[in-house]
Amino acid sequence: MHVLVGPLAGHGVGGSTDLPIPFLYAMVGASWALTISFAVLALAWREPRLVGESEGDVPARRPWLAGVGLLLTAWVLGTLYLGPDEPGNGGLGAVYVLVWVGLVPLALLAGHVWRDLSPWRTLQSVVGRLTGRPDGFATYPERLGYWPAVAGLFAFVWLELASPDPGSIDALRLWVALYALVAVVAGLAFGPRWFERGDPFDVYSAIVARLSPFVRDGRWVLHNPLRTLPTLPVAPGLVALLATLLGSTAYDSFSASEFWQSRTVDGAQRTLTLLAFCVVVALLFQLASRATGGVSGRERAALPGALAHSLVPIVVGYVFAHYLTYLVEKGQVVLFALLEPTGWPADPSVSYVLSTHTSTLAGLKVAFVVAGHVLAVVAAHDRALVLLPKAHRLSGQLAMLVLMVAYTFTGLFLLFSV
Amino acid sequence: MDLFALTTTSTADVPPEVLLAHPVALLAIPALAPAVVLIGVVLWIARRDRLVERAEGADESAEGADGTAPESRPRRRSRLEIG
Repeated sequence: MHVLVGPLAGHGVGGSTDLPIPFLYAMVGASWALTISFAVLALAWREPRLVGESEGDVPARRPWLAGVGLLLTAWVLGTLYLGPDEPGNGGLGAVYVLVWVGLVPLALLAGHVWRDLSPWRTLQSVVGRLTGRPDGFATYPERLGYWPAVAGLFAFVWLELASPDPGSIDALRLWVALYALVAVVAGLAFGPRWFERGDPFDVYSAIVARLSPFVRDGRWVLHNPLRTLPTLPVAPGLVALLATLLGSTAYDSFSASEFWQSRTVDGAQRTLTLLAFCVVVALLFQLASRATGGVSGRERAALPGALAHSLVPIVVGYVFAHYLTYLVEKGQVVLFALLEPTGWPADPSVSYVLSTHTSTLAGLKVAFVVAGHVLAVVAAHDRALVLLPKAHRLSGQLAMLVLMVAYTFTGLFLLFSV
Repeated sequence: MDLFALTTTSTADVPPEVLLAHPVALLAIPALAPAVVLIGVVLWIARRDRLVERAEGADESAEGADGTAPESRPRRRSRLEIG
């Protein structure tokens, strides 16, 4: 995350030397933990237990939250466009830190509250009511699936990680203007379906919200999140979407490494490398999830989508491992920058609570990655018991096990080696 | 690079990209070893199960031709059905 300069730049805080055990042991130990989890599941978890829990009946958007959403959007966009033309602009940090990273813990804690907050949904709902077309003026082409959201997410991670000047306020202003234009036009045209399939932030929030233990179908219910995770709607582009999130996080670490920094690379090379990270993650998942016997061609083709929900805990694990410090500490800086016009607080002081506890932070990073992967193995194993024929229930998961161990190993290496 | 600093001290005269590749490739061996063993065990049991199943199928069709009802016979061996 190049835009964040100063004491939080880079992933050095809570790095490999801060771990309470040697980093090499942590990497190997995490890989073993995953294999052991799989072995335990193979012996003890022989029937599917995580039947999807969803009534599919979601309450209407709450007007007061729509109001809060409009207010927050006006504040952030006002600061971004009317504030200073420099990287210290609070709107810039608000988009990269509070919106992009903050979206994940928000969805985990409060479910898909983005649906209520989204100003674009509010505008669409008002126009839809006035024109008598609440579902828009055209039917969203379902064959597009999540692909518009994939394009939007890739455009955002490209801006953040691979564009010529990731800290540029002008570039972000242009990006946000284009995003808002697409959200308004496509939202009005296709109605709420656009936000469920095409809006990058809305879709990202909806996906992470399936892992929320507190909210189910828009209502506060304490439940096992692994039961709501399989209810993630499968549509074309789902694997690509999750691979974009995972691949870009991996590229973020990789691009900060000495190996990459010591090279002279142009914009095209950065873009292609970022794209390659996402494509490799997606291709390997496609191959690993199809590697089973005893299924027809049509069933095999459906396997990656049917198992894609297992990638969600990994995405969340890596987001926390990579960006928790940014969110907690840079988030305070951004908040103070946003509050600056109000003159409160008079003496803003940032608490570097994580940076000053490096061992805890390093341990947390490993814990997030391992927990994400173990949850993924549980979710994928349970779904495999449903999808795969009896004779291939375990042998059909072996390629995925190797991939998960390889992801863990590579993920931790990238996380701690820079 | 931190990782290599943990494994060796003489890094001055070797290009960094060479250093990057070696320890990680070596580390992947112990990291993946238990997974490889597990895969071997699962595949071995799956193969054995399929052989048993095939043998049972052959017996059933042979005895079925003699007029013996297959379900009246006890199962030859119990299978782990690990798949």
